Amino acid sequence: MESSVIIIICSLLCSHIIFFSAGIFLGFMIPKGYSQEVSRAPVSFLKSQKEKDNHKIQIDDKKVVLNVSTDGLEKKFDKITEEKKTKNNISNSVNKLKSMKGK
Amino acid sequence: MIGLDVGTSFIIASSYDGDDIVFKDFRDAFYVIKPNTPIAAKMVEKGLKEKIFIKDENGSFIILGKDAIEKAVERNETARRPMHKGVVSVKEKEAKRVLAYILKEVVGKASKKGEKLVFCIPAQPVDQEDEDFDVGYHEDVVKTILSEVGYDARSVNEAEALCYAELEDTDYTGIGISCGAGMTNVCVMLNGEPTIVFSTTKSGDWIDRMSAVATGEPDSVVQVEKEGGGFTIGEPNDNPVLSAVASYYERLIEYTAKQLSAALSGHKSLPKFKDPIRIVVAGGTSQADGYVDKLNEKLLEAEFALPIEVVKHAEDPLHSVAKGCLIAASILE
Repeated sequence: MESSVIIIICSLLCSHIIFFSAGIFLGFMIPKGYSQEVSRAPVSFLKSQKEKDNHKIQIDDKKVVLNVSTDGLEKKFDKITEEKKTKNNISNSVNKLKSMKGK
Repeated sequence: MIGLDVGTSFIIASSYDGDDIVFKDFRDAFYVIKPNTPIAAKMVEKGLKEKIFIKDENGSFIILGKDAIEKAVERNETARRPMHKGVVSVKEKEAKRVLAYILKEVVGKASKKGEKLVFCIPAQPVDQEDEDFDVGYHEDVVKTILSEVGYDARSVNEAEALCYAELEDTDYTGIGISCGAGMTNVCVMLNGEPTIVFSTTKSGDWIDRMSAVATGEPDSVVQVEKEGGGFTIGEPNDNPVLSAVASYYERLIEYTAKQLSAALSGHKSLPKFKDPIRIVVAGGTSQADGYVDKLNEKLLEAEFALPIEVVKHAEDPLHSVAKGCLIAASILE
């Protein structure tokens, strides 16, 4: 066998190994379940209130909310809701959560 | 400050009143009657005396809340909802207008400009890919409506709010399941931080729809029968509507348990809890007799990924999310 043929076979084998290794590497880099909403870590309500540093330049393509007019609706009742009162038992929860969140 | 549970079946506002918390409940439904002649309009208006309704400039009468369901049942029809499966419908123009009116009436004008209000939103569902389901748009619509009456409105995930209301004893560690009419929302929380949130689009309305198909009754009739009680989940009943409801309830709980197990099994964000966890259940759909026991049973059958300390019903299942929203609003102050 000529040396040039051996060189070609060797270079082909090497390139196959390189591409195969690159594939494995990319497979590990891309997170599993990337497209599934449930796999996204949620952001806590309190964290979401803080300003976010967003260095990416993106276009806002969310649906625009147009004015929802309630003009022309004439009220014909006194009270729309039923009321229920309970003792305020949430101050402990508020204080505990505030201390846990470092507020 | 105000907490607001914007649900498919109920809109509930919570606020402080001295040493008390006041919950204001509104049944989220409307029914439109459009009379054809001025005489018919007068007759309809007379018939609606003592009912909660609004008169539209086009001459139609929009009956609101419980009265809307009663009127729909009376006419063997189904009341309409301003929301569908947990969010405001993108396509239904009238629904958005009615929702805006209802929200403004329920919360009233802000006591001062920029008063804090926290309302709940659902999580993205794991079982539906629908263009109409747009949580972001729903959130923006509600924010816009509330800002028109002077509120600084922020959103919190529905099941996260439930955890804030019910998991104080366990240092805000456990799972909250909010079983509403349109959706079932789930939050896994560790020390006050939500680690996994998701929802499914099958809940109370699904039971009504399926039972209505099985019995040939309108959804509103099934809903009224179901809410009247008198059945136990999974047990036969002499009333055909309640028998269908009891069966579909069991199927729904089995589906929810399987979805919950599948979503958490091997999830990369699932914390390593050191103790068995508490699961707290709330929402109107969870009020049926036997719901909590059946959920516990189905979770064990579905080989739930975590050891369970207890599956517990919230103290006040209908108001827990509104209470959690008020807690979130209080933390912001």
